[in-house]
Amino acid sequence: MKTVQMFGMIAELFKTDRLACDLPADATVETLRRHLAALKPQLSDMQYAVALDHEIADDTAPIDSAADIAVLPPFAGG
Amino acid sequence: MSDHDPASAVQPPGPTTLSADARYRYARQLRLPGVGIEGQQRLAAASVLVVGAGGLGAPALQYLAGAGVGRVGIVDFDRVQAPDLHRQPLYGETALGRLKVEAAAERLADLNPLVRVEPHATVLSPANALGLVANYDVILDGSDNFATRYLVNDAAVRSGRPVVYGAIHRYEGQYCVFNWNGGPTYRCLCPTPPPDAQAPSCSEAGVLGVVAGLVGVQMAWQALAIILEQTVSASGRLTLFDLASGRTTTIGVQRREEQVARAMKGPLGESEHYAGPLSVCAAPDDLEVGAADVLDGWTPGEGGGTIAVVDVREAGEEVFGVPIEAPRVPASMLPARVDLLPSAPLVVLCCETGGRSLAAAARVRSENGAARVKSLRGGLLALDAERMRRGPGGM
Repeated sequence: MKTVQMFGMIAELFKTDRLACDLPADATVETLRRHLAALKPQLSDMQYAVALDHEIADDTAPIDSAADIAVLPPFAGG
Repeated sequence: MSDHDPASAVQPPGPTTLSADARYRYARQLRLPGVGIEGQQRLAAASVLVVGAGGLGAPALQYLAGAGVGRVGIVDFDRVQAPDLHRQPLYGETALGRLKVEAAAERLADLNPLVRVEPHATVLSPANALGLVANYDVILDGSDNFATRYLVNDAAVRSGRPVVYGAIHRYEGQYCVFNWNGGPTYRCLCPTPPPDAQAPSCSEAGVLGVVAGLVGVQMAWQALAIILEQTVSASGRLTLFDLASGRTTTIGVQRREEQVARAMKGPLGESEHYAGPLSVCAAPDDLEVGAADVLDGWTPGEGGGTIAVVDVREAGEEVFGVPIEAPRVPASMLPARVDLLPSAPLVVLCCETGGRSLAAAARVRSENGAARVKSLRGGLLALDAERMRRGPGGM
């Protein structure tokens, strides 16, 4: 079980800023994206970045070894 | 200076010494290690362009001018409105209805007459972005929409200028320095412009004044750190904080050469679809109507004239929004309930900022082919600004 930190609109969508996700051992960032989109279909159209251990990660990056996972939608407000 | 060498973007200080006035004014910061006479001369020789004189730009401007940055440019096309004041204390009651760049320039001239303030009362557009950005050493992106943020990024990458980025969402704020000293760019964090609908503006989502203030002041410091050649702690480090939960996180962003190349590709602003805002990326001409045209042709409270205005905000939203005397058909009901729209030859849909009304007008157009249904460009905030510009009785 991985805890994913949520920010901005995605945290509001899930009504939490920390979501527990049950992901397979060989999961990548892409797997996480599909997992989240299955829970909230709106996410499949949304662009957002994923950070593993405080670094922006590619979709192909494996998640299993990451201690810290964050989901970061872009902010426009200013 | 090489066009693409951000490190050389800040001009070295000239041979001037500080006047007695300046030594007295800056006495407290001149004592700081890392500033001193040389640092103060660097500040005086430097220039910063602040894009957007709103929640982020207004506090940043106060501290940039106070610190003695020699030349401060401000780009903003907007006017001061009452809902701005809670987070933009640069302005006061006397500024209501005035161009932000003018009101800001006056206030900053009073704050520090040693600073040259250059107001640019215009929309940052693909036509003017490169000229404006290249004319300053450091760019502060305090804009409120994705289109402007990508335009700032691409113009800055092309002219080798560092960008201090900041953005806010409700109780959350974030900031980062991009394109500095070979560091990552905004596109390395967000490769492709999302539709503006993905992130509502402050007008629509709500925002806490202190969040904007905290990010704006951090942005001012990062710009000063670049100029003073101090550690630019936010270069490639995206800091996020949430005042509601107390959480603060820092995320590293790596430079991606393919994203830098995308910023350089094709005519500025045309290399791909910019998803908004309406003022920068014009919607199809016939899908929008301007606030001035609406005020000229519309009689409030009347549905049978040549122009009928329809409020498409959701129920309850108007409590905190711009008041308007117009029938309500929430955007969520369109196009399904197009039958509820008035029968006037021109029906103008309006929401707070013009985004949802444009989307609703486009949906009605594509499903019903109703060319008489358009959207108010810039939304009710633009209508309110136009009303204020015309003054009392200027409906």
